[in-house]
Amino acid sequence: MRVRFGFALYTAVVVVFGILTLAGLLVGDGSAFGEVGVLLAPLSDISSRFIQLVVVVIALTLVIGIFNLLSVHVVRLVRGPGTGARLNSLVLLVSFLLALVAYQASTEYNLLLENVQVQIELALAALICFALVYGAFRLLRNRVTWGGLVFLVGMLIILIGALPLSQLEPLQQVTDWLTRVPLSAGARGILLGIALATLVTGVRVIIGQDRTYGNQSSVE
Amino acid sequence: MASDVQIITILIILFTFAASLIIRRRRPLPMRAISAYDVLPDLANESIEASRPLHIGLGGAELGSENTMLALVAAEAAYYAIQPATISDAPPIVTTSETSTIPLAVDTLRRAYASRGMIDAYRGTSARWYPAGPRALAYSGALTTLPADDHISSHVLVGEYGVELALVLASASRRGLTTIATSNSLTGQAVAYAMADHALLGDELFGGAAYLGKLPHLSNRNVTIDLLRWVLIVIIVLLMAYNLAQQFGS
Repeated sequence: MRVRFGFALYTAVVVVFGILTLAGLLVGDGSAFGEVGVLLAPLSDISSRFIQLVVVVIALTLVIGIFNLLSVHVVRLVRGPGTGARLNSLVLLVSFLLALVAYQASTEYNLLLENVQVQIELALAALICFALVYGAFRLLRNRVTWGGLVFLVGMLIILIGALPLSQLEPLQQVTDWLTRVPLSAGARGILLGIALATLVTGVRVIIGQDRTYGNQSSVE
Repeated sequence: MASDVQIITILIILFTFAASLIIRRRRPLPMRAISAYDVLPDLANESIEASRPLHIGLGGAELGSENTMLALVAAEAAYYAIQPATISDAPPIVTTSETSTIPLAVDTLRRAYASRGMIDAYRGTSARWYPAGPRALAYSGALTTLPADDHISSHVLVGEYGVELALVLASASRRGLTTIATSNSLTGQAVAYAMADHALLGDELFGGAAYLGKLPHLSNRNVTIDLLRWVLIVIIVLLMAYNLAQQFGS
């Protein structure tokens, strides 16, 4: 297989930085490893420097974000696919300028954030409830499967069991058991699966077996 | 002495290293069907035929946090989703709510176009940042405008989402858009399962490359994950048997 120099360089950088950082984080200050720890301690300093670099770079991406936001919406304002898109982009750009002016006027009291954005987000949060009810209705309307039925029945039992009525005490016991045993076990299973997959992917990226960068994807 | 947690962590990582180095399949591996991966190529075809962009949302997956791997595999899935859709008149749109993921989104788009020899058709504005705001509702609100404003053909939502995913999926459902959704959070997965047309549950997103890339070596990651899963199951069963033996023995 022909290997391009740039691609090999990316891989080498990822492998070297990845292994050094991982080793530094695992070793810590080296005290846990007795006499050998003195030799391993510099790894921790190296990994700390790398992590500091990453933090600085990530902080700088905020500037990229603002540039991206403005460029996307200026382009949409000029060549937007429709009036609605142009209007939304115009509102965003005007709001951006207003927020800048408002911040210059008073750095302590953020008028637009507290009186506009928070209120709109609260309204959206209230709408989530209706969206979820719609979702539950749609679950049965579109496909009646065993999985869907179990999901819906479980959800109904837990919702009804959460009602503060003394007549529903037997149901509340069922709800408690459902939450403690099957739900907890299922949730742990899903989370363990995600953790294992994250670990394997991380290790494979560090040793250069999965390459989601450069001009090739996941090449071995 | 090193703490127990340190030793266990080092052992797990060493085992994963060894397994990743040893497992090298050269033949395709039979894999169970996952509807989201079956339908993903069709979504790209639909986008091309309708001249409407395909939307891929990376959500709150970010680089430099515990979600780094999620961001990488989400971008990987996005790459395979975008690649066929690059020939569409309407370029695919990739959105994220984290600034650290913008370079990743831009690189994913650029690579997808470059792989088709169409780098001239790539537009930087196809990768978009919508600030999340507290509770990510601003991002969800922005995604609900995409069907009307950009006339998107379908949503592929792979990344980190919470309950706010319900807003996007409800809006997409009303407009008849096909949706694929997943999240690393349990809340997001529950919403995706109930509301998306095709949901990816648990670690299914991490196996996407093998399903979409169609190359034998891409399944090595899945084999390694499965191997670790079985090792974990055996350890749990052995520990349970040991505990039971201790209880009945005393």
